[in-house]
Amino acid sequence: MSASATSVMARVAKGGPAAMEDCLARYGGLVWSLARRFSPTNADAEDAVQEVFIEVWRNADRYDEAIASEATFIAMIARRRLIDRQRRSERQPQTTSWDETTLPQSARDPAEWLQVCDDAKRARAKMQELSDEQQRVLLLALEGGCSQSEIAERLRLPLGTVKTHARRGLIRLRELLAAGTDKLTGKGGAA
Amino acid sequence: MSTGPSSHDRRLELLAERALFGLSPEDQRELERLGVDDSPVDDLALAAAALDLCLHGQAMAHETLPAPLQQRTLDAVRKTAVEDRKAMPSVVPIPVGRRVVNNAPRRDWLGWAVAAAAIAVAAFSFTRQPDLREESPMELRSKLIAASKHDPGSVFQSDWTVTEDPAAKGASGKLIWSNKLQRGVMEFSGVEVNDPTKEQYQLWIFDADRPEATPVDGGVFNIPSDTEIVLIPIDARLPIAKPTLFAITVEKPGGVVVSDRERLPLIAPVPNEDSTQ
Repeated sequence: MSASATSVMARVAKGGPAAMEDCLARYGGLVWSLARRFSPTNADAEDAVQEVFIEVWRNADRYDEAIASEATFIAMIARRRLIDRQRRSERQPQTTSWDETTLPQSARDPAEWLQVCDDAKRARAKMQELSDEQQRVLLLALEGGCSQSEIAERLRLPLGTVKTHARRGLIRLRELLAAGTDKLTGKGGAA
Repeated sequence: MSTGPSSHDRRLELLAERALFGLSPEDQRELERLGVDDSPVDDLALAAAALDLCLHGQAMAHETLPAPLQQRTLDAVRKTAVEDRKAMPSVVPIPVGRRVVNNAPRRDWLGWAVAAAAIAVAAFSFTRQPDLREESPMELRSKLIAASKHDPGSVFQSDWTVTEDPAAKGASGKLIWSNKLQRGVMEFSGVEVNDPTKEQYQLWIFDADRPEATPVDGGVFNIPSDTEIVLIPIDARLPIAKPTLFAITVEKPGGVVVSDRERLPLIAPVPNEDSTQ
């Protein structure tokens, strides 16, 4: 099955301007947060947000709520675009360069956010089943935003070993998430 | 020769690395050699995204896109939509096999007293306000055909059946519809050119989940004079659950809410229920 007719992604796929506004209202903060984490400057993050939502619009009809929540789907598109930008510019995230006083206040209730992220909670639970080395490498990659070289340096491991742990860890996590269910997530994003 | 990973395993490794760190140009070329499409959607990228949301979700919960950036982003998407739409002509000649005309008799379903579910609007190709996602009809047709190849049964195609109406004399073509996408396209050849100031064609979609007397309005459209093959995207005004029949009437400019069904040149019955999923 694809997205239910009332989901934001389904409405974006159908093409209504109002649907894209809803999409930005609901998931703009998520993408903005990711963009700031991956971008060295405010201007770079703003450019990235626009690129990401153009990609979201172009790929809305690929969304399938049986596989992932809308939040995860959008985060996936955002991460891919942001990682590509980062590699192209050979930059690393510099979150310390941000003026925290300029950050907007949230209009979203964190409790609501946790409901949206059922699949995120499942991913965290399944991560405990990975080897210690795989967990450490994935956490540094995803939580710390470290490059493979930085992870190798911090963990004092050969670069090839870090690559192996990262790859195998993520592949194993994907297998664990898929085990016993045909979906990554329990439900899609709240309407 | 090699004791390394199989091409399948290597492909997975590269996809995992792409999802976490991105790929060097060399690794990207290797992934392409292993046969990977450029879709942004894959299971490993979803798993990485889910983990990212878990680790950073609380921080994200406190984020809101600044209003000026939200507006600029919306404008950028709209601009892209317009540019993408302009990339393809709205009407594209395609060779279409001619069908033997079938003068179908009027049946009971012709007795509908149409009360359209939504107000009809102006012609598709020329005066309708564009949606964000509006594609060229050819682009939409290609997408539907592609969908039918990797998801058989998700898309159905039906040749038009012509009636005795003079507008359909010598007409042929087909209808392509995906219930999954809720989108479709009509292909016509030989349908009588209309004068939009006097009359327009209007599509009606019969849905098994709705009373037969109230088919869904599929919009109005024109047949231009200078085009052998005409492609018209289908713009259903309401979700279609189980389409049973697509019918085209001739109406006054702008279409009608209730059709007197006096002129009904073309119909396309849905082949069977299973093919509309």
